Amino acid sequence: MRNLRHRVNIDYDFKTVRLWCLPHKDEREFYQKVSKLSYASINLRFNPFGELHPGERQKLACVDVSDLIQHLETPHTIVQFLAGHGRGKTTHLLALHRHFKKFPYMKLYPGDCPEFMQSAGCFVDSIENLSLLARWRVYRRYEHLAVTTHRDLSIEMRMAGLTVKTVRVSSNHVDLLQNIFHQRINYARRNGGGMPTIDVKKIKVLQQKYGDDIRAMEAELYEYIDELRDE
Amino acid sequence: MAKCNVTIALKGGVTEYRVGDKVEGVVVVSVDKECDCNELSIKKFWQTHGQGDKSKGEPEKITLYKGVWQPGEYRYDFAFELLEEPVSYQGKYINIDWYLKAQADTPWAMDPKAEQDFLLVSNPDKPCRANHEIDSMMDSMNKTDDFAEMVSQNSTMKKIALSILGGVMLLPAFFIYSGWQSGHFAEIGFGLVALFFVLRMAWRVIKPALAGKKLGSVDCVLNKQEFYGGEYIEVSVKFLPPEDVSINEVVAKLILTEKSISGSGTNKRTYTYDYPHGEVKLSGQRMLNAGSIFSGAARIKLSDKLMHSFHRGSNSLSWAVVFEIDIQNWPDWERAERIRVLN
Repeated sequence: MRNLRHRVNIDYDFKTVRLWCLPHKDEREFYQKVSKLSYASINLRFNPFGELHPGERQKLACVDVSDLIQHLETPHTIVQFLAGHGRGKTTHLLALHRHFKKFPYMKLYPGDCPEFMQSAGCFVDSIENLSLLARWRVYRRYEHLAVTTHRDLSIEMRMAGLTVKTVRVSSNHVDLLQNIFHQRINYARRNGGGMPTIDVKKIKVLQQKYGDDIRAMEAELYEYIDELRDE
Repeated sequence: MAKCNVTIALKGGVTEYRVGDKVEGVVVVSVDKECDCNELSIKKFWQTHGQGDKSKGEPEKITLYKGVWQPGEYRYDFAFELLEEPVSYQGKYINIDWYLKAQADTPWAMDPKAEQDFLLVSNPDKPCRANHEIDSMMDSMNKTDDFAEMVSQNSTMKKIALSILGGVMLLPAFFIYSGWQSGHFAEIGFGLVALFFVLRMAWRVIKPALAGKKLGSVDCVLNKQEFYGGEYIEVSVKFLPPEDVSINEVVAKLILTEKSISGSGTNKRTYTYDYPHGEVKLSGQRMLNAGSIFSGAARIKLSDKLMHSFHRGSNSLSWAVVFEIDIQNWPDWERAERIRVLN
């Protein structure tokens, strides 16, 4: 931090103190960034790997849920998306929800005791945040259920009389990852000109570092895009 | 089905405005067949983007047209005054931009829309109107959310925390001892990791107390809490060391902290980044005798173009003057005094 500054002397209260300031160059760069539209230098409107609204995530989901649609239309069925953090469970659930907009979508956090709405079906993100008793009530209440979870809850779901379809979410194909990242960048595109790309080589490096943790990859790509902007 | 296109063109192609300016332009609608329009409107709003969840300001809306379009091109002028904060900001984890969004509500069809971003920069001649929604959040921002900092500032809490930490420290010690006895290295490893975290937490509580012991009670004073760009922050530090102490330097740093939160629950992630904006040195190396008062004062000039304090939803930009006393061969003393920068 200290090497960023230069020293100037000012007089104050009859004594000289040394004032350390940001060098002019740094200050100029700091304000120059604000003198042009966000990410315009790389033909983007925003950093595509930043946080998106759920609606935007739904729109950009690169997942095929066609076979799950038919399954979920059958009464007394449940689709369980199972994976660790950052693997794309919520994206899958949102993509499936696009086809069942009549059913409510609920995101649950630890300690939540939500009131469930009257409906034939329900989409529950992070159902493991409910107690066993509350989950049991949900299983009995709805005829069509789609949930995400870190733990395999298929045993209790079957005991509740539901036909379970478990989807273990993992996006470890280079082509799929490239497609996901391309969609994101394209969505943030400012106009028809060129835009940054994430090549196969970079994706393989990310895979080696993070396995199938897409959220961790996106965090690194956020920094990468920011570096491109600042160049 | 009729094809309807909506575009926004800003007057003179300008995309940068100062507070007090008007953003003017035209919404161009082109239609190839007769088409009903329930409402053509344009909204002006600010929105954050970056690593944290997006925050959005209350939009200001103008209805431009209601009726039926015959095939052809239509132009609707619009103008918005730009008087309110926040100004545009581009940082590491938080960006704030202003947007114009035009949308035609057409029955039985996807609503055609267009969006244009623009920059709002501060104007020293025209302070921007404080956004009351943002204002109301300032109090909560001023409360420290760092548990260790909070504990270190309260002596009763400090004693309680140290007692708890002392108790908690027994647990990793038990794991290490039991692992050592039974030859389970995993247990020893777990105990060491747990001990590391407990000691780290304990150090954060103990460190200010240790530094305070050398310096006595330290008074850090700012001339006021709210500042406009271009003003001076007058800072002073005073303390009466109870014993002889050698200090390397006393500095006051001006720091802008970006704090952005994404997700919640187990998915919650907090991103913070500090931008140093200069520092003033109140004293260099010197020896202080027990009972002799140390007193230092100086001032820091704020740039005209400084980003104002901002707090909305999951995103905040907060300013602080951080006082640091570097004590020779002893833990450093540090305190942050939050300030509010206005525009």
